[in-house]
Amino acid sequence: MRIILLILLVLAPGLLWAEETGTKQNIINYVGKHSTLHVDAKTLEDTLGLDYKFALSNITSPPDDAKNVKYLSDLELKSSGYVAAERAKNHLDSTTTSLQFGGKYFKVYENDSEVGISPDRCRQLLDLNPKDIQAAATTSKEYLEIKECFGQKRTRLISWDSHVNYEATQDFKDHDTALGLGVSLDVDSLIPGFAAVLDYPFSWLRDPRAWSVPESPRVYVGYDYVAGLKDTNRAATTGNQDSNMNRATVQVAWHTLVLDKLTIRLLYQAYWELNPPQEVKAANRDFNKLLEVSYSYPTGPKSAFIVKYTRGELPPDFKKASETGIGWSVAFE
Amino acid sequence: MAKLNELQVKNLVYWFYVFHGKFPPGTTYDNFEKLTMGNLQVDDPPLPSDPDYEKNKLSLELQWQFDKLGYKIPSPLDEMKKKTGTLLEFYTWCYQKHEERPTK
Repeated sequence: MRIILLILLVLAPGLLWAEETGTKQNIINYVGKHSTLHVDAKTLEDTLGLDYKFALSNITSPPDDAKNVKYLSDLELKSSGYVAAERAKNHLDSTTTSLQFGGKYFKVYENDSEVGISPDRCRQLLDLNPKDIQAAATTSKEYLEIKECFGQKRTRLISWDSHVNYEATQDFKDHDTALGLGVSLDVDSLIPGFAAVLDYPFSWLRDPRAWSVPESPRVYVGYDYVAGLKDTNRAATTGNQDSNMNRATVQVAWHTLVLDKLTIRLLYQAYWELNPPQEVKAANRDFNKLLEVSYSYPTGPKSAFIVKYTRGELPPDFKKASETGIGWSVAFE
Repeated sequence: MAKLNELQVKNLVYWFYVFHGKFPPGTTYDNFEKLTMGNLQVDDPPLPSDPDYEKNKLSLELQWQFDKLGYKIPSPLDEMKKKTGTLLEFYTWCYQKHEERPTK
C-alpha cells in the first residue's frame, strides 16, 4: 500500500499537467490502444474469485529484413493475479506487477540453396479460390504449391526480458520485489516434432480435418534476485531471517482441442530457491510450484464457460492452495 | 511490381492461419472473415511472464511471408492483440499497410 501511495504521489504532478495540457485524453487513448485485459471469473467455495491478466505495451516495428531479426521491444507493464471477494477464502492470494524491457531474436530456417517456387508464382496462386484448392486432393499440384509458398516453416523466436516484479498478496500486506532476467521460446523450435508427439493421444478425440496442427508448448525460464523477504511470511513459516534470495523460475503453457470445441489448457509455474538455507529446505519452501488445468467451451466471440482446477503455491507467501472453480472467461480490449 | 490486390491479401491471410492451425473447427473460406482474433487460439493460455509470445511469433512470420513475396508491412502485432477485431478488419489492414519492398 505504501508503494502505491508513493507511486501516486510521484505521478500526481504529471497527471495534473496532463489534464491541463490536454494530454490526458492522449494517454487514455494510448492505454486503450495498447492494453489488453483478460479475466476469468469463477466460484471459489462460496465467494467470487477473479484470475486476471493485464498488459500495456508498445512494440517497435522490427527491421525490414523479416527473416532474421534481432530487435528490442519497448517497455511493457504487466499485472496478473488471483484475487477474491473474500480474501480469507483466496488460498492462492497472489498478484504480480511487472515492468519489463527486452528484445526478440527471430530466425527462419529456410535452405536458400533449394530451388523453391518463385515469388511470381506464389503471387499467382493467391488469385486461385481457396475453396477450389481445398476441395481438390491434398496431393494436387496447386495445393502442394500453395503449401510450399504459404505453409508453416520452421522458425525460432527467442524472446528475452529484464524485469522488476512486485509480488504481493491481494491486500498488499505481504510483498517482495524481484529483479531478474528471462527467456521465452516454444519447444518445437528446439525439438522439432515434439508438439506432434505430445498431442498424439488427444488427436484421437477430435475430427482430424477440423484441427490438425499440434500446439507447441511455450516455455519461460528466468532468474530473479528477490528482495524484501522480511515483508513476507517466510520468517514465520521457516524461521529463516534472510531478507533476500536467488530464485530460478520455469513456466510452461500449452493447450489442445478435443471433441469439437472443448479446449484443455495447462499452465505450470515452478520456483526454485538457489542454495536455500537449511531451515527453508526443512520447511519444504525451497521448491514451489503451481499447476492450473482448465477446460473451456466457447459461448461467444469474447466469452467461454470454464472449469478450472488450480493446485500449488505462488509468491510472495507460497501458501498451499487447491481449488476448483466454475465460471466464465471474458476478454476485454 | 504492383501491390497485392485485396483478394490476394485476403487469401494470403486465410492460408497463413490455415497452415498454422489457428482457425477453430468449422471454419471455412466463406465464414472466416467473421472470426475475431479472440476466436483464434493464440497464446492460450498466456505465459505469465510473456503473455504475447505467440502473437509476436505469428506477427514476425506474417511479415516474413510478405517479405518473401517482395513486400514489407509494419508489425501487425497490435492488430493481432485486438480480441474483438475481425479477420476481415485484419486483412483489410494488411492490404492498406503493405507496400513494395525496395530492391535489395
